[in-house]
Amino acid sequence: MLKKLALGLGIVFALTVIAPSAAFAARVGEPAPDFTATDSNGQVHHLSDYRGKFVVLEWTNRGCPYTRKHYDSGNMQRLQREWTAKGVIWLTVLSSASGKQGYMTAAEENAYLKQENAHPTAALLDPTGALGHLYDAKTSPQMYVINPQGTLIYDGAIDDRPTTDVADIQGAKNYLTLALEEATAGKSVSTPVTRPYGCSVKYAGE
Amino acid sequence: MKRRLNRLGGWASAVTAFALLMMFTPNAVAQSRATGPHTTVTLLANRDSLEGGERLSIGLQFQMEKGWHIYWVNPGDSGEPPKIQWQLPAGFHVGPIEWPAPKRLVAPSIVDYGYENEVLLAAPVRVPPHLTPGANIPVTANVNWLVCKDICIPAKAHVTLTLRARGARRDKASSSSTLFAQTEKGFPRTAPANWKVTAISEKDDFVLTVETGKRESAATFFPLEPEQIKNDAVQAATPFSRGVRLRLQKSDGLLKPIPVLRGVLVLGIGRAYKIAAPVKQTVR
Repeated sequence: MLKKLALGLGIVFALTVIAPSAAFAARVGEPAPDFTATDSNGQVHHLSDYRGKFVVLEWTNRGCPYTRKHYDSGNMQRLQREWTAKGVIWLTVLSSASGKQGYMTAAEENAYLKQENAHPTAALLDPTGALGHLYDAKTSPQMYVINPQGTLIYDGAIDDRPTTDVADIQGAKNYLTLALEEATAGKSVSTPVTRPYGCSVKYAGE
Repeated sequence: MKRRLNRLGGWASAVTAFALLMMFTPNAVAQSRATGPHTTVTLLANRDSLEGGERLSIGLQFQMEKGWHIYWVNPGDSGEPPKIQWQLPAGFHVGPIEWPAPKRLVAPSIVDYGYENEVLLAAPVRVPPHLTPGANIPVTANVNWLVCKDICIPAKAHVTLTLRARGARRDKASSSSTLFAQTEKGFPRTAPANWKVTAISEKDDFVLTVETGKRESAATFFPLEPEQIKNDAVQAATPFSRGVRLRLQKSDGLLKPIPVLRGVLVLGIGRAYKIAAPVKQTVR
């Protein structure tokens, strides 16, 4: 009897954990919504696992020319390497629905990460778009930064040059770098929200 | 001239004739039309010949394949508007593009603002007061644009057109003048002086009240600035006897109060207006 009760409670608890914990979309200055997502190696991640660390969420779509600008130039990979080396958790997120541009199976994503020499902590596969909708991700790329206390401190564009031209990376004001540099130095983020630029996230149709 | 040509050998004559032909067909080498991915771009002017001090309009006509679109000055949640660099001789001044009223481009969780099928992006040109009669006036446009359907493709083109300073004879209007005139009819107009357009900033929404003097059954607002309203939220319209009220959800990216809400308000076909609604902040 007790075993059945425990099992029942366990199931209820598991279902609660799997479901997104907040009804609102993420807002800068407020607690970043907790989530559960699976990466390209089958490992499950919760945002709450990373309490005490800075977390970067990077929305991606390999076919989008704006994403390609940052990957073909090596810019995104350089940022990933630099910040993960400093203890930041970098989670790349793929919210493209099956059949749409940017969708990848776990094997394809792992091959892509290797080919691109990308260095995220993990690549989260979100083809249902649940994580994307939770954070209201609109474009790829779109960047979010969460501080060790679990507050969302940056949401928006990777930099201030909303173009597909690789030549615009040098000399651009990189909002992600700025947010991380300021926050890791204990300062408040001077530009916490910007309009993200890129291709629309290819969510599943409604 | 004729005597000299008759004295030249056949080959030389042909070369000379060709050179003369090139002089009088200014567009023989330069192209006013370019094909990009899923788009044809054509550089047009509303007149072929000019007099000093006249009004001139130049424009780029974008023709997109079915299903493909380009973006408005505020592209919305994603995308990028076309960027045009005009080149004209010294003394000519090109004004800003007059953007036709956009369309809402709706995708799952994303709303953009732009154009499908065809659009003419025209700009006014100030012509210098004195032009040498018969002189060629080269017009060049370097354009970068993003064309999207379910995927996006960046594109660029370089197009040129040669206009002519009018001689004594009055020439006929350009074949594109009708297109310019039609496009002009669809430009968002400045809201009439007797309208009352105001907005109230509530906790999560702007409530835009537009008093035109009569009941308006529909309204759609296109913000000029990004990160002010939530583009993919439903704009709840409430008609009343003197106009219409629109509830516009605020963008998550709006961090500070704004004093004015600027944009294009569309009340129906052919009824697009530029509005700038002063925003009253409600006491928190």
